[in-house]
Amino acid sequence: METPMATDAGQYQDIQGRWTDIEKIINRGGPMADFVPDTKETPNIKNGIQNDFKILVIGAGGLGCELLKNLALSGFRNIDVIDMDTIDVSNLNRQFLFRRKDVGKSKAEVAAAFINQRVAGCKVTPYKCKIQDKDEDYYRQFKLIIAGLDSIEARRWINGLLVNLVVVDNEGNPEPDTIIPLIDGGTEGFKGQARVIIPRMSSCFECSLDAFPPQTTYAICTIANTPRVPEHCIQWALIFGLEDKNLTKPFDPKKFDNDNPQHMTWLFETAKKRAEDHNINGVTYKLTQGVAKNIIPAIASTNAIIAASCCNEAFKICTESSGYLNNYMMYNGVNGVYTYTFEYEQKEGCAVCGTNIVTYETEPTITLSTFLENISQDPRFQLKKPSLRSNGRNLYMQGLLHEATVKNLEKTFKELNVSEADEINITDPSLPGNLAIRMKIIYKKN
Amino acid sequence: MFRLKELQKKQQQAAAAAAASNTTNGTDAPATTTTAASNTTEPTEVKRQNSNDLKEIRKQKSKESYFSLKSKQSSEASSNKRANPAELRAQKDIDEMELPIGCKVHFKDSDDILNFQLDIIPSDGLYQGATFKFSINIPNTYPYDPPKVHCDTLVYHPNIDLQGHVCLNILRQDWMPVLNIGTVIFGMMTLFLEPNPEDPLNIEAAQLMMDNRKNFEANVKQSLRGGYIANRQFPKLL
Repeated sequence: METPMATDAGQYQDIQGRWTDIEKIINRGGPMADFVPDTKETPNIKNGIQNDFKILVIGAGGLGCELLKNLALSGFRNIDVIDMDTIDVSNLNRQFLFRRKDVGKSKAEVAAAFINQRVAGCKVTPYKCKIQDKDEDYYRQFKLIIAGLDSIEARRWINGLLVNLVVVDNEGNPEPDTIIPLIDGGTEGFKGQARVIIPRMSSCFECSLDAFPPQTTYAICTIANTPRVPEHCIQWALIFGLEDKNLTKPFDPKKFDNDNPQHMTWLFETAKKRAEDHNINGVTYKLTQGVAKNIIPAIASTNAIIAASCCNEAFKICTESSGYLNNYMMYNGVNGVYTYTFEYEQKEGCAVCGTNIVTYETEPTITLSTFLENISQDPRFQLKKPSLRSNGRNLYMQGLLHEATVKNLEKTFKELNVSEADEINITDPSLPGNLAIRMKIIYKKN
Repeated sequence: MFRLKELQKKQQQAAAAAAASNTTNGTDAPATTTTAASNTTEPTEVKRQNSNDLKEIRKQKSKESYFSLKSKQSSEASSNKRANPAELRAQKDIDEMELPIGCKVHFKDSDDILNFQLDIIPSDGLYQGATFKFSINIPNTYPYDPPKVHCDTLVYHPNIDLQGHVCLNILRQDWMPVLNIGTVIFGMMTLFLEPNPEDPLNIEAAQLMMDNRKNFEANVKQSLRGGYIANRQFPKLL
């Protein structure tokens, strides 16, 4: 799946004056600058941008194209890009690194090849894969990660990973070296947002999950009985049409794939028929695609504004030339232009960054009941009725699953397959919000 | 705003102090000072680290913090077992849930807390005493997305169709992440205590409920006894 591309970045010599504008920033100090300015003899910052810092761009779509372009033109030369998607003809209006001949090819690969060819000295390495396919070691190498994603799921995943990579010492202070900042851009039509997440230091993506507008959904009874708009008909085809055994389908309804043109044509025809039966106009193939894939209209200029803000922050964080965004900028271009910057605060009890990982030393021969007793008496945790899960299995649960798990109390950790370095997730009504304690088990050495 | 910078500086100072005291004592610096040393050697130099160095430092630190003597393999294996936020939230929901009277929850696989069955035995109203089975699935996007509910018992009900779709506002358009599994179960119980013909999924049943309450009630009774309604036989539940 992965196809890193080789370039000859090493041999490249810059034309004199190429980075004059950037040098003006990094060669001079200033009241907001928190660095020692570069000199000819010690071009440390420039070296950092051009050689040392590796930046990861997640997504090579509307935002991704802009991000790659901006980073490359700001002097960053060590860039990785991950995108699992292939180029669709409808991307070409705004994803300017792609041409008609590229339709069907990997977004990451085409975008990387374009930048490498266009910006001399820049080395973009593409990966056509899911972000979940890469391990922690891969993500550890980056100075900074910029995400231009369209899915909440992927954002949650990368956010969770980066928060987990941060090492927290016994006093609860994060180790600065293990913090990888995440700059997250997002657009939806004329609206967008750019934010800087410093894992464990500022609010994380999960902290603000509740603030996301829910996806447009319609009451199922409306869809079933009183459709009024074309979207109702398309949703009907998706929910009821697919299940209806009387409707012939050229595919297995359980394997419906909204990227398969044959499946989408069937969905469109079915929705159209439904619309005609209810005298509703406006079901088109494009709208069907939009509803089935939850596509939001993309505006090229919104992408440009948001990507520019993200790269601005990336440049400032890497060079330390000025203060960075604290920590959330929303942009609204629906009526005129409106932006607002505010500090999104860490949520107490956030399921990701509100849960501290604590290490706990014990023996493999300890029984679960003794362990429970020990942690309940430990003043660090303040537990009253703890429930414990580990490795996707229940150890001991209160409430509904009490009966099913009570027999585990007499078993030892060894019998319960709790091995060293395993994480035990503890929830307890006395912990506020979503807060859980994540306990890493270490076994005493004898 | 510059909390990160402050933290970095504080650590550098501490490391410098530690290094100083180490040299006076003549003891060897512990392994952790690999980074501290590079920070303190050239105080005027901007701190910069090659991506590969950074990776090694980060790996090193996370190892030190968790387990001093762990092999590489097991550290990698354990990293994949990170609890997902949906599961963590479901654990808490299930833990703290107080089931309304007449509700029972079964886990087919008690370790899989994202999939379970719900039995509703209404203690009042038209459906009193019958048992209705539901399957509930918590998606990985929970609580951003609501739980998925399917009715596994064929029932004559204005808000549940014969395929088992359930019309309950909080399951779709009115879902909010602050709601939880308990509120959904409570909502399901409410459907049986007070069917709502305004949001029909079984249109015939809803229409009859509005037009002729008596006949509707008779139909419900007949369906629960295993009778036929509009040529469709219902399971005997009473």
